[in-house]
Amino acid sequence: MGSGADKVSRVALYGILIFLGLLFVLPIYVMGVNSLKPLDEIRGGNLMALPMEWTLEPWATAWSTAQIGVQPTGLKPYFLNSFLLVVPAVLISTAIGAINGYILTQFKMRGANIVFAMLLFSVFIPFQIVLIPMARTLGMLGLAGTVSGLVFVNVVYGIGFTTLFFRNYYAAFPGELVRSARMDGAGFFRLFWRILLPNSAPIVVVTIIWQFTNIWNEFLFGASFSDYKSFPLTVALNNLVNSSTGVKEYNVHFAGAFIAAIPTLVVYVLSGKYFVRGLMAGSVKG
Amino acid sequence: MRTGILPKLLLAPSVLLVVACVYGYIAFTIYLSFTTSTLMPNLEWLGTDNYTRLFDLENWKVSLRNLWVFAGLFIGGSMALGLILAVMVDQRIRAEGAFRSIFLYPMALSFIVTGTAWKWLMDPGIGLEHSLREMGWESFTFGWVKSGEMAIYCVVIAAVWQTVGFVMALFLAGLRGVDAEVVSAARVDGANTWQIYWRVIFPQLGPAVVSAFVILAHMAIKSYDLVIALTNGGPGRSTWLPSVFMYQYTFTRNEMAVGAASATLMLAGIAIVVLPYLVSEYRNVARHG
Amino acid sequence: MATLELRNVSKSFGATKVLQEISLTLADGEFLVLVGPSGCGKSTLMNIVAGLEEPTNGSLALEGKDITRLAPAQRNIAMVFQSYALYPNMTVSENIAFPLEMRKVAKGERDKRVAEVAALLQIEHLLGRKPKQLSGGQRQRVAIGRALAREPQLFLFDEPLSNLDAKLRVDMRAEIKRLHQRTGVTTIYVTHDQVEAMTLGSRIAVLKGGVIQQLATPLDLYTDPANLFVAEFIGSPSINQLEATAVSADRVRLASGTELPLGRPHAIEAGRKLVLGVRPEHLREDAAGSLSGRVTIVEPTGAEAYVKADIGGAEVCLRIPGRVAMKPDDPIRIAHSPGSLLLFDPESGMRIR
Repeated sequence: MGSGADKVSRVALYGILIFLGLLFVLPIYVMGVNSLKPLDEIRGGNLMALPMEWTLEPWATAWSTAQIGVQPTGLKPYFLNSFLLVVPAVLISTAIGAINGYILTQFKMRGANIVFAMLLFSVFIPFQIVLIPMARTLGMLGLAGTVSGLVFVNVVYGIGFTTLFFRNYYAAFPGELVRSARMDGAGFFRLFWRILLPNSAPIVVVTIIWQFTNIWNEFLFGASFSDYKSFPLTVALNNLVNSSTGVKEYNVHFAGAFIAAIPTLVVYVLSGKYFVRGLMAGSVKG
Repeated sequence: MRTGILPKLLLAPSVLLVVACVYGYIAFTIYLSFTTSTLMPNLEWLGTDNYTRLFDLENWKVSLRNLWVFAGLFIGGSMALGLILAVMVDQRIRAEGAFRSIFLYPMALSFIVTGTAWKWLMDPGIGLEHSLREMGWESFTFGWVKSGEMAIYCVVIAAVWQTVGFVMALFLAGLRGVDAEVVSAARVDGANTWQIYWRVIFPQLGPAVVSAFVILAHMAIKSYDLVIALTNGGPGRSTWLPSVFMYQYTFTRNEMAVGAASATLMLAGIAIVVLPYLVSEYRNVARHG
Repeated sequence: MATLELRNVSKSFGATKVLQEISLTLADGEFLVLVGPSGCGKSTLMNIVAGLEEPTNGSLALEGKDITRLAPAQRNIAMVFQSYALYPNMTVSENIAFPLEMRKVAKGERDKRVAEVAALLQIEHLLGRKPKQLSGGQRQRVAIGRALAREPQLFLFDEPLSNLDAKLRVDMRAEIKRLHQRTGVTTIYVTHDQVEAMTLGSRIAVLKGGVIQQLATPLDLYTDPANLFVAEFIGSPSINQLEATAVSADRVRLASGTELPLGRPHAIEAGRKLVLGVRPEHLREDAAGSLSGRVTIVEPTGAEAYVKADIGGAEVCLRIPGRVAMKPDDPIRIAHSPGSLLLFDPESGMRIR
């Protein structure tokens, strides 16, 4: 350590890391600065430059007056849709996953492995394979084009993940604690409420963050099963950016993209550790 | 624990939902791919004609060719860059947490958001080309996203950027999982840092490489949002992927049976990659657990 | 406080027989130690008594009442686990009160009992803490306290000291013994440590391969083992084993040719192959001894020394009090205490008396 060659390679290492870091930040930086510029400045100037004239106008436009489809409503109603979708879908799928994980690990029953294998594979399927029959089902249930329909779909296809998370966590749960509680007289619900769940904070956080990020960012179901009243934010944003009519208001697009990014970005900044754990848990099975 | 009726009763709804909405629907879609369905599903049996037609369609050929290019570069690029990042971050650097967070944050964003950012960033009219020329590099040209030939590589760039942090995290966990005493032993035995990585550490990353490959491959086959946001399949159909094809044929071209056939092939592709992995992982778990 | 009776308890997992026809009876207030190597079935037997597993066959009765099919919560049995199994989300006092709460004991009564138990175990100052703020020994006390608070008819301990360091283990061992003497609750204690077994048990059951090899008081087990496995398992350093052949009913010949008197007649006929067992403390250095050999290793431990010697191809260990002056390679003559030789069948390992 401390030799000249070491120092050179150390400097080079930091140089490369910082360069790559800037490259990684570039898209979000571009989104940020250009959402605060007037349109002329983007057209005539440099995308990487800071605004000469700072303005919040694009944000206001993206939020409340931009044309989404046919209505100049801005992203506001769709932001609300996404919240109305995400909150129940996350809570329901997490609760179901917790119960499933508890049952699959703490009770011996025939077929438990098959159930788990089925749930596990369901995590990987391309959703294109279920789009057609699901569209029919939602139609028959009267849920087509509604936020409730999207809640249902995201819960159904989220159970695999949430069950996987809780099952793996509870499989490693100290067996002696469970046995001790049973000897102390705790039954099915009491064991879950008083012993397992209070000691599940990390996996609950991981699961909620994972589900929140996934469902907030979800696009395919939204594009397939919602209409202009029930679009989630991702679909509305895509409509805003890709609608071919009129002048391309890049600054408004960037502001809109930033608005859609904020919730998951905030969650990531506040609890990146749990987000990474979710990624890892989702990738290392069993 | 002795199993009463209660656990089974509580597990039943999930099992029913998954059996119906995953496996039932898969069966239904596969069945549809052998029928004469067009605008609406219909159950009239046709046989394998839809598959024959599918393979004759230029749109499918383009989609499939794009998938090979995209998947190859996306998987290879993410793994190579991910490994390099992991090794660099593993050098006991300062602000390791900050670097990791920066490389990983794109994973938290929607492909629609990042697709939008990249779309305009790579747009020659206002993006990099325009900006660098403004800054004085008059001859700089970067118009791939407008070129039928090159647009698919733009999708690759954006996808690698989005995913590489995740691969880095996977590999970093693998690197950190290598027994420190084994590394010390190699050092005592006279290996230099480079040799330690190639001879001792990388060979132990096998499981992480396999996990990364399976996850990236299945992401590649499923990729949809990013293409829609970045190029919307264009210019023309030059960045279509099977996922785009499926959506187009099913919902806008009223060829539901062909759409179902393409979805079936997507599932088959994923099953080929994922099932052997899950089976082997699951065996391991059964053995150790 | 109660009697416990196990009748022909068997347990199989598929084709694997973990326990075979275990029958034993615990008297009121007895402290029974279950000892054996890992995989001998002792933990399974404990779980069956606790109700955490069901026996494949056989039955259990607590204080004369059949409990074979009762859920663990319905048996009045408390258990102390190896990992202590303290609920990490609850404070010490909540942990101790938990089984009472599950039994719907009123709040006032719960508090009273927590206080009593805490005083008994001297953990009053810990009541507000969470388990992770406690040391290993403190956790152990809390776990015992939680079991005590229930005032169970039967106490189960599942290797409770194996996670403690050596010094603490000795202290806690004495503490558990004192506690048993004070409360008089019938107890089953599982361990793989023979010192714990010997010091704690009023009787010891040695288990191997799902079968009770011997059930006896500690001293009987030591001096009068039923088979070679028990003889080997109990006692440290381990019992010396020498190949021998019977010369007559009260005389054997070692492989080296030396003949030894047994002191009393045994059920052996001349020419029979035997394994001769003799404890290290029953051998001593004696110029008039009939065994001769050379010292190979001397291991002083302070109070006594273990001397190993090669006697014509076989190695024996002697336990000698105080200091020894011997060095490796010294010639040595060894005598044995009369009546201390134990004979075993080399095939079955069974004791020949």
